Amino acid sequence: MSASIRFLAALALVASVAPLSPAQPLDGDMRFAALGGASAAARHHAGPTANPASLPGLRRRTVTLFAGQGYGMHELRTGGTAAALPVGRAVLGIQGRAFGFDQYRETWASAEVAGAVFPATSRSLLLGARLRYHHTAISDYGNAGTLGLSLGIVMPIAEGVDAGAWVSNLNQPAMALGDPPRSELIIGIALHTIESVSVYVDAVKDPLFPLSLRGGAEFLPVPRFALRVGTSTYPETISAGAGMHIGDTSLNIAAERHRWLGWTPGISASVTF
Amino acid sequence: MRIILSTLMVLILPGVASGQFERIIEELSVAGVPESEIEEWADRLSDLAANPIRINSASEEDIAQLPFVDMATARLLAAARPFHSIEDLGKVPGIGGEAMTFLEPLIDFGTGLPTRAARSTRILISQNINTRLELSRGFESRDGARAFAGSPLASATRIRLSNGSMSAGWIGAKMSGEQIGWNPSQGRLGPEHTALYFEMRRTTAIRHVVLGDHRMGVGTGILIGRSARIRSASDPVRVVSSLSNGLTPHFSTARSEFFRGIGAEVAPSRRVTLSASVSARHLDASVGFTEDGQPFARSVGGTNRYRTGNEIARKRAVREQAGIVSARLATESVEVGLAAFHRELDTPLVRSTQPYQMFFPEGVRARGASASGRYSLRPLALTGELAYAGGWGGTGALSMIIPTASAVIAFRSFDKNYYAPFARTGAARSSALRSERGWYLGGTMNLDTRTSAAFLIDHYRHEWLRHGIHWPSDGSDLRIAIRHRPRRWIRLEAEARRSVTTTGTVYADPDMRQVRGIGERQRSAARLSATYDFSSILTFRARGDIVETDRSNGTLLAFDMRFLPTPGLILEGRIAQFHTDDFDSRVAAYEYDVPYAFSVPSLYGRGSRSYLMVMWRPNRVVDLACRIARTLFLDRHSIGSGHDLVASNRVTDFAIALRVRR
Repeated sequence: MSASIRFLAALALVASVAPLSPAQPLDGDMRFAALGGASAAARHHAGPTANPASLPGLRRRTVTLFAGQGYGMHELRTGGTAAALPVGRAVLGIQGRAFGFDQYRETWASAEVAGAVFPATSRSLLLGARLRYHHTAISDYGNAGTLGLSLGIVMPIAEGVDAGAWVSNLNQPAMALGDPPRSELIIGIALHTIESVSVYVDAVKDPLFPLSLRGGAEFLPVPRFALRVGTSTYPETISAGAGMHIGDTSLNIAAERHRWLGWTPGISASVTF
Repeated sequence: MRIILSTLMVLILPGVASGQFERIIEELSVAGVPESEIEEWADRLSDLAANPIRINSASEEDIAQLPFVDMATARLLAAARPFHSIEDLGKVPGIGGEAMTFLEPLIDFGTGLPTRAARSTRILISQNINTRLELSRGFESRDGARAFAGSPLASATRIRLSNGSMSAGWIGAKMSGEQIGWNPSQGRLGPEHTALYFEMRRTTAIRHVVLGDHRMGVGTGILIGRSARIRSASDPVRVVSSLSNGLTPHFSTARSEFFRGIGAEVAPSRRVTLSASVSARHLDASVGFTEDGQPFARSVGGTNRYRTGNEIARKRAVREQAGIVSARLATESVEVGLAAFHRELDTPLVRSTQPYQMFFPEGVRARGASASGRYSLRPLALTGELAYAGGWGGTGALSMIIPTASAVIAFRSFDKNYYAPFARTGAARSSALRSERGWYLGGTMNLDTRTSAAFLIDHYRHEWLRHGIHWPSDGSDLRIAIRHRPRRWIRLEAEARRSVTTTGTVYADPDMRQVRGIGERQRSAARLSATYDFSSILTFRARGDIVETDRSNGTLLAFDMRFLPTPGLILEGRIAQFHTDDFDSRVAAYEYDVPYAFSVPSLYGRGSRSYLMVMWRPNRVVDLACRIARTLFLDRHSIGSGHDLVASNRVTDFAIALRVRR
């Protein structure tokens, strides 16, 4: 593919994605990227595509690095970091993430707080809030930024079954006049009823697109090694990945295949201390 | 006394504290109860909570005051007494179902006479105000012709007094753009919309009198009255196998069917009830004039019967005088009724020469009579009504109710000239029942103690032409609903519907001439909802809807939360995202609202809908509710039309309701 064609294709792709799009393919922790992106009911998860209420599961300080390349094009590279810091009964998180190339650059910086409450019950309800600064810079055109608020919950509903829900950009921020604010409502369920197997299913609704279902399964043939597969209906993708956990470090890889656009690889690494 | 009060508090507070009334209102809505009647239930539920029905000693008529309970059900309950708990009620054949569990705060399982509180004077005053925060075009002052006369606020004031067997109510309502105050064109002071009634219930021969606005329900409702909408009923068996409950006050300013005059029920013996109603009112009409200046009506409105003096002065309306009489004989297993109406207009109706116009009797008079009946041979029951109103019409239903299942098969047929202006039933929802034939099959099953299923199939055919449909047409509806409680605190509900209707359309023939014809329109919808009582003070609900029509698709995903941080305080909220290709694939989503208000927005286009409601009940005298709801569209730059046009892609509605009762 010639450089000019790649450049035009990249521009077309990024133009099709509004500035406040919640995520690009394989954004964040590749564990859940390999599960089709289904993570609303997950615990122990930090990252730009995570439910903000997933943080309290992280009992120790955690730093995650991630990187991916959309459809194999370096213009659609994404990369960033997420950190979680337990403080008393709450967990604080910060994230940074960049996407795009020199002609089009999209940057996120987030701060979040999460904790557990026990409303008239001994069961914990995890709550989280995230404030994210979205910034977009387009070469020879200009740049703009705005703040978006996301809220989420994760809760147990039965033995080995969790449910979660979160809404991104609840305050419906707009990058510029006429730019439609983007907000996603995601409701999901996580099943851990079979030993060594976890299943995650999310329903995702962005007002600009039809209802999308995401789902994935994780299988641990041995305690420190995981195999994952996932799919989503809109866009139509399949994904797969693997993860390894050694001591305080975990490494995850994932690849997603879009029905028309092809493969997107990604990798992430986490350290707890 | 203290024991009685403690008992009442225990019975009342669970319902109040957990927002059980809102669930009952929602269930009534799902059951197809009209909006104006749901408005009244806000009061009736409060009354019932304050004075629960003494199920073990109450009369059948009093038991029938409970939501979801008709006279036949009330008789079943009365025959099965005594009861000690809500679970006992569920054991009565045909009474089971989740709806009964909602009734617990409204039922007293003690025995004896009504409490003193029931006989004391009680007063209820409420004030509702709602407004749209974005001003619409009609409120701009740059063009005098466009500006509304009044403020954008809509307001409704309700006052109701009751003392034992007597009650009286008044509502003064003002819509957006109307004035409150001296109205020179009418020569009167006050709000434009009013409703007023005085009601007396006695145990003597004159059993029930309503002076003012009232409704009448007779038989199956094919001649007089209104049944629940069969296609949206949550209980598909009872909705076609029940008889109407007779005379009731109409305490609402919602535009709906009611009579303005006097209605009375007399019971010369325990088994016989005679009813009569005399009323006079104005109806919205399409009025024309003959060459010599005489007015005539082309059609008379079906539902826009609520007309104020101002509206009548501005628009064309005809005056109607109506009289209704009915008689009912009820025994343990047999119920027989006779009914007749006479209607007279001050402007003659004239049929159009267009072949597809509605059929109705020409002139100023319309009359009709019917005989209805119900024969119970448990577990079977046969219900039917035969009526003549310009033509013959009839309905019949055979139902069977056993503890674990119920089923009904029903038929209906109405001649071309059958015209029942006071009936709202069958497939006709917003206009009078006419020219319809159909059959209906419904059933419910308790698959196990935690799972129940319900289904209905309704097929109807209009043998004659209807407005805009120039050929005989037919349609059908199929609905299946399943409720499952995998745990005590989780409720899953799945529902699928499919409807096929005939629509009028215009084709181009080979010579490109326009030819009128008919087409078929299909609509399928599926809904999945999960309600999770996380704890006694926190409930979550998730809901997903998918709609598919011939040409378009629609989806909605919603997440609700109900939180009771302290006794008497309820926070309720929803976030929903929707995406539909057009109006046909719209999604209707019921929302909790402040007392006396009702919200089922039809969402279409691309956008989000959210609301937050706070209800505060600091004591048993005062409750205050406040609600803000916002709809944001991503594919529009303006919302509404005409005077209501909002030049924005978002609309925000604010409502507040204050209720004081002693």
